[in-house]
Amino acid sequence: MNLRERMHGTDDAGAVGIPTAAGPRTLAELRRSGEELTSAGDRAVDKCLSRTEARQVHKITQDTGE
Amino acid sequence: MIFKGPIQKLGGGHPGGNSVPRTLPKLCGSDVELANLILGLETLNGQSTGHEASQALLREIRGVPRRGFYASRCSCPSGSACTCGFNPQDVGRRFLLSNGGAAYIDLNHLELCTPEVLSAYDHVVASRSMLVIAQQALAAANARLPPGQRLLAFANNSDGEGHAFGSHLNWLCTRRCYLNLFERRLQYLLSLATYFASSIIFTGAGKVGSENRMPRVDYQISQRADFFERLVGKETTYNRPIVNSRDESLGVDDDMARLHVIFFDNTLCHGSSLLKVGVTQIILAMIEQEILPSPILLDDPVEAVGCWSHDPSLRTSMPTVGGRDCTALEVQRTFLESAREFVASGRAEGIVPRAEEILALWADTLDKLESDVDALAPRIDWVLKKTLIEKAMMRHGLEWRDPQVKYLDHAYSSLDPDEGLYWACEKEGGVEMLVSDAEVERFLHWPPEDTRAWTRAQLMRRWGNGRIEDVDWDLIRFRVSHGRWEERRTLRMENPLGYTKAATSHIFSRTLSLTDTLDLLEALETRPPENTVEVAPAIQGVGAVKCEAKDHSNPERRFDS
Repeated sequence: MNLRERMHGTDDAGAVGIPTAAGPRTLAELRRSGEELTSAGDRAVDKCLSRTEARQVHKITQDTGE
Repeated sequence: MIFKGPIQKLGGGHPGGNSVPRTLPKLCGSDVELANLILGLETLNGQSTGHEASQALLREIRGVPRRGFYASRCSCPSGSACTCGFNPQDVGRRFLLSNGGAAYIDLNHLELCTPEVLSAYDHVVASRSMLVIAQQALAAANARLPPGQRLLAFANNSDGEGHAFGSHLNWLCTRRCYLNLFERRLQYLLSLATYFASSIIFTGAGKVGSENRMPRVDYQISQRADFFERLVGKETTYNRPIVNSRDESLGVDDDMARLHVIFFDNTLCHGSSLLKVGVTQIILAMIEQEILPSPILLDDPVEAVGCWSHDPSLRTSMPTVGGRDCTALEVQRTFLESAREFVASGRAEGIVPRAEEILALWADTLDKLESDVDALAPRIDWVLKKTLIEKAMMRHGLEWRDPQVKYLDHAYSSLDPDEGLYWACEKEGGVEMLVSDAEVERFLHWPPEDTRAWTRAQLMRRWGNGRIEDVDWDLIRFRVSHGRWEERRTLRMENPLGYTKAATSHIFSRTLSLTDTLDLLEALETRPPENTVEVAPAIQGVGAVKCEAKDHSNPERRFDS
């Protein structure tokens, strides 16, 4: 399966999906679930904001690099 | 396929006449500097804890040390000019036995360098494997810290307070291509800058706020855009140029050069990373073959990248040389159109692996940027980050200027798998995976097979414990024992395309002494064969031809390394 098939393929019919860490998802599935798509990220966001250091780590002063 | 439309084969005025220039596989190396700090560690005057954090991380990464000329710390009296050879941009460099990459400290940032790779897919694999190595180091370093302290590391490019740090990409090109870019045919330079500036719409990592005295903005597409102040230049830590002209060869032989690109953000999404490297490979291959990749040249790429970055709606138009104003998306479409013809002509074969797949992903991405940006959250970092933050603001009643929002910006790229927002999305299947975990795992333990990284890693594995005196990208210096006396021998690997597994397997599959191994390696013919690029038929009516490479560069020119 090449990338074009991965990206387009027959995904709307559900036969070929986009590979994700949780297994193939069809593009339709990914599109449909804007909410679900980032639900894991949302949970992680809420976990981050609940940490006591949330107000501390917005300043991560670094040295200029490169 | 006959080139038409925007593609212009530039003839005349160049000593090459009508001959097709020599072209080389678009081999790529990369590095990323991490933001690193220790929470709970008190420092004098509240200074950054980057020094302590980077040292703690590097201690957990094993490898063969680069000795070279560099002192490990400055021994000069405080306040006086350094004369001891200390280089704060290259501290503790070590090369990894596992995959041939490297790690060191650059100005108090842990810097991770991938081994040389040929394909954009391998770049994604290699860069992720280096992040996994950093994650392992982070866990180990944290386990050693006293209670109350925690080491944090972020794969981003700015701290939000005016300090930027790099993620660089480097490409192999011919010396002729390099001279065209910087000294002879500056339309290519402007075209490359136009491509870079407009590419942020799929290579940007996203950032809350602005820096470097740029106008205030809630959210912008690129981490780096605010820091570009010049079109071209050698600097990297101030007056940063869009196109860097640092001519540092790292060993490539006389008719090769290394293009050092400091422009791009560090990206975590596979799609962003693949496009960043793969599309650039195609654009550089076109430039190397003296094809202007787009008829559109920006009037002021520096201004354009700033304005485009500050407009996530993608509606801002910027002036071009011809007087027409274009959006970044419109500019990218002209590059795509030319690249399609270029790839279809066969001229990317052997130069850009899996070019057609890269084109397909690029085209699909541009379509979605035009019609359905939100659908790109699984593929493009700036879109995913923006989606996460905007939803968090709605749920928690936050404003863009709230410190928690900036915290989420940083947390997106945290390497801590329990904290990093990107990793959470990936773990739950919300991100397109264009390479597999198994491939990443392989690059944790094995080098790429199709570049000199293979031989570097093999030699370090066999003789890294005592026989290697020094190692760098292009050489390894050995101490060879002959009974009661020792000889110093240096293996130079100037061609990064040589010393592959295929070229050396007959050597490393046998049990040989170090002397015999070096004899055989030194006897290898590693220069790429001359004039080997087969050009597809009917380019400007010319049939299939064997390229005749002519070196028009100054034979007296030496490399700056």
